[in-house]
Amino acid sequence: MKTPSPRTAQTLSPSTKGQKLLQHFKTYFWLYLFILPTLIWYAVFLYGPMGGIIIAFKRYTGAKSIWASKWVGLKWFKSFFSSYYFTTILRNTLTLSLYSLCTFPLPIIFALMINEVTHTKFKKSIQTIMYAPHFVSTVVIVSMLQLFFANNGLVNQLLQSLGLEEVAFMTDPAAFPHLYVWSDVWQNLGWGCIVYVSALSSVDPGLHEAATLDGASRLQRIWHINIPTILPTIMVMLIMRVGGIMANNTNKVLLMLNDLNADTAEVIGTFVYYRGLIDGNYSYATAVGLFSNVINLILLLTVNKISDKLTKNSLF
Amino acid sequence: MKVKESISDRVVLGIIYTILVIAALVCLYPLWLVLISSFSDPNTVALGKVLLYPINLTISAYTEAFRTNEIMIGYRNSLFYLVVGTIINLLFTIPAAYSLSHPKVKGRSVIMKLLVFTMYFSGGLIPTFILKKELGLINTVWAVLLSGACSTTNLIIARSFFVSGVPRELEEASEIDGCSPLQTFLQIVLPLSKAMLSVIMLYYAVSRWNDFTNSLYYQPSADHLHSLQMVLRGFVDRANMEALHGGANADHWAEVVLQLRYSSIVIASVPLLVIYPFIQKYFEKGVMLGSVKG
Repeated sequence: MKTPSPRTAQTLSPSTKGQKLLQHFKTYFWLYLFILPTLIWYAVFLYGPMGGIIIAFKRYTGAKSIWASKWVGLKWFKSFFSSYYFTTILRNTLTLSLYSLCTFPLPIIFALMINEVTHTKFKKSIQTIMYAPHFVSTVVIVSMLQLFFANNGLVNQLLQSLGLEEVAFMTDPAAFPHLYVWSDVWQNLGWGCIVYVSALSSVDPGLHEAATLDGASRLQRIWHINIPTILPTIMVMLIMRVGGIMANNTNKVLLMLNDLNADTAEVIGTFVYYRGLIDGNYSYATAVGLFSNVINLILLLTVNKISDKLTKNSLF
Repeated sequence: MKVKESISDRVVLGIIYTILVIAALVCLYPLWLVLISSFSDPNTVALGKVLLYPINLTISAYTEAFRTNEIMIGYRNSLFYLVVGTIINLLFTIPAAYSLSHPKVKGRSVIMKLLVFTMYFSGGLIPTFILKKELGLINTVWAVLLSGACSTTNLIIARSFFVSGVPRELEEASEIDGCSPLQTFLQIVLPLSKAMLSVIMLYYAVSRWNDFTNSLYYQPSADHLHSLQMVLRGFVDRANMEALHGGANADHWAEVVLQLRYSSIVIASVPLLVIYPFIQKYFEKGVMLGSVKG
């Protein structure tokens, strides 16, 4: 570093610089205090567990501290990849996510339809009603599935009255993905529309007037004006969805999972819960969880990059 | 000048209206079915006769529910987690969001990046559990209260609001008048942020009230601290077992449980379903703020 010339040293001596900084912290003391507890919370509860990931490479049983536990390298990963249930769990996880992903356009379609409604009262009522299922908890959703799709439940009674055979929906591995995905659609369709409806409110009404004068039909206007306007929103939502492809709604699967439907219902999240918290195989379960987290992160970054290249829309 | 709509356009609009009405009915009917079943005689319900309105009206399912200790304790706990938990959420979210929106705060973009990173990568369930165990939080109320004390999504919504929804000039004027940032925040900024505060509060309240996993993961042997949703999960588990073993549905206890299942769903869902239509107008605002990039 160059030695400062006498003049600059005079105007910007270390002490005044330090004083300035001190003055800054004095004036804005509260602003730093505002953020401090939150920073500590993030450091302890979100970054802390990231450090705990090292037990995926150790033999940690809870008897010895994490530091004192023995290193085992990639042992847990190897044993997970070579286990016979690895393909089943991975297949189930991906099937559920990809199946859910197929329902991604539904809120967009419904938002476009809601946007066509001109009666404000009718529009508001439809939206209010369609939000309702969003406020119902996962436990309640699964309870309702159990009640309506039980062997003697309403759906089976309906099937019987139509002369069809009874289906054991809640224990049938073939029925599980459909129940899981479509109850999700039921719960989140209305809520999922909000983001698109609000994006549609930024469509320039002048464009519609001009297009109507030129003889464009309603569907043509939706296709050529509304959809391009909300495309950035669609892309951002899609990136988020694809980035979460390895993470199903574990809570919901956990509630629906039983011994009979495990063939299609056992996913990475439930596997981590049972192996880790119930059986106490901490290291093994952490390794499995880390595997899915890393795949998720890679997917998110990849899709983000692709979207950035193709449509100039990205998360970061 | 308004151009007259063509016939095909009106047909399309008619179809749209019809689909929307059907969708609204599909959203509402299962909830309605639970409600009328909870007020009907359980035998009639089991026969599948209750479809449009309650039959053999009775409130016995509710008196039964209020006599069931588990449900009452769960309700009390859930109320506690809702109130105290949401207050903790707001304290960890709103002041920090304001600070991160203030142009004078040094290092705020770095901090923001560190916070956003946690949305895309986490330590996972087991390391989180071990950490809470080391801190002595397992089987205490703190295991639930401190879990998710701040949601990054909500923090981003609040911060975007402070950046775009509160005029900087007002804050600057207040600072020139000699107010400390704390006074400015409390007297100028917060009163202007009521809409955003209600959205964030609703988001947090919903996730607090509907949560069962924090009880499941972090209170494995403290039944007396479990939330109402966790108690309902007990019913779900019992039903799963019955489905596996082809449980007999004829005995009296099964009837009581069946009755409890409808009424407990209503008890657990009514608070939120009654409140949300009143703050619905703020939702769109909240979502729009949230869609601004972090």
